[in-house]
Amino acid sequence: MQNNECSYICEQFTEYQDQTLSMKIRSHVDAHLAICSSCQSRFQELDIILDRLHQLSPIMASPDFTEKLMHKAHQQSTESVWERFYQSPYSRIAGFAVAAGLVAAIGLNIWIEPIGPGSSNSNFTEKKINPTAVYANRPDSIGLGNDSLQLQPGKINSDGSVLKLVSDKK
Amino acid sequence: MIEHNSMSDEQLIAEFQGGDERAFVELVDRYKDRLVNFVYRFLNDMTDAEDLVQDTFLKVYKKKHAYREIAKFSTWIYTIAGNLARSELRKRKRRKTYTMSDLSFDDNEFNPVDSDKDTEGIVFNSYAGEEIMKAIDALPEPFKSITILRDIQELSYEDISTILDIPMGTVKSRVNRARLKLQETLSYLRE
Repeated sequence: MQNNECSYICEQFTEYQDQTLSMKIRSHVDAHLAICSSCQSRFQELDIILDRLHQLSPIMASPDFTEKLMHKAHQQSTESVWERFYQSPYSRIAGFAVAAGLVAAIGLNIWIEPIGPGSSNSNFTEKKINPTAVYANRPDSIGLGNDSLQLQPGKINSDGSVLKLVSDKK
Repeated sequence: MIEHNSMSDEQLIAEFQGGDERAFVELVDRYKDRLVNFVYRFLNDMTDAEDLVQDTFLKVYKKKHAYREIAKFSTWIYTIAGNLARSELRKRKRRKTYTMSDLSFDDNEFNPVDSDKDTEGIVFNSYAGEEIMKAIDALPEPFKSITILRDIQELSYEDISTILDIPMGTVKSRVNRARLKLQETLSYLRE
């Protein structure tokens, strides 16, 4: 029975020390401690252990702790803008939307204005040009449908050697 | 305008949530030593402890909006640091190739003092910090956390209850059992 009683008393140590036991239990513990040297020693030991625990030398963070931390935090926050975008499900949706938009725009453009000769809606007329003849007849002017571009000496530079393109609409 | 150093922790985190980074720096200055002290008692390694506390603050920095003023800031940050420390301990245990079973205790293993044993004249005055630290390190996990939080950090039962997410009654009984286990571990020092 003594063992069970001692066990019960030991279980009360913390509350006994915190002085949160009811008067009845406290006086019971006091009465037991008065006659039980084993529990008395135990309580004394626990007091000393607690005292030592409270006296453990405090561990301090290194002096540059805050500086290092803020450096890491800033580094992570700049990375995280892109990381967050890249990792978010919206980035994929945005990617698909952009790709789909591009395909649609290109498709729409081709449908409205098909590119290249031979197509039914073509606004272009095919005209065969003999490059040798064009070169031979070159009066320093180029014909473009109803327009012509002429090369004339420019007056921009002091030596007057610069040629300029002059549009001459017919 | 109120100075940062005269603000409560909860006011500071609110300021930080509003974009004031100086409020975060003030919180770091308030808690860095306490948290390094706390985590060091878990890991027994200064470099690891500092790294882990840095990770704790980085979590606060990145997830500042996760804090709601239903809990004290101190319990919130201790919870983060405690969780990180415990997961680091678990990682270390997995890495360990040897077992410390001879030093560990089971929750139900505590036996009261043998009344037949003559305990008179026991002197515990020779406890050195290092021996106590070894004894804390040898405590099984629920008791280790509770000893660090209550007997080293001297946090209230209420705060410990919130940090460890256990009822106040359990905190009190675990504190008591942890102290008795610590005493058992240190019994070899009896003269």
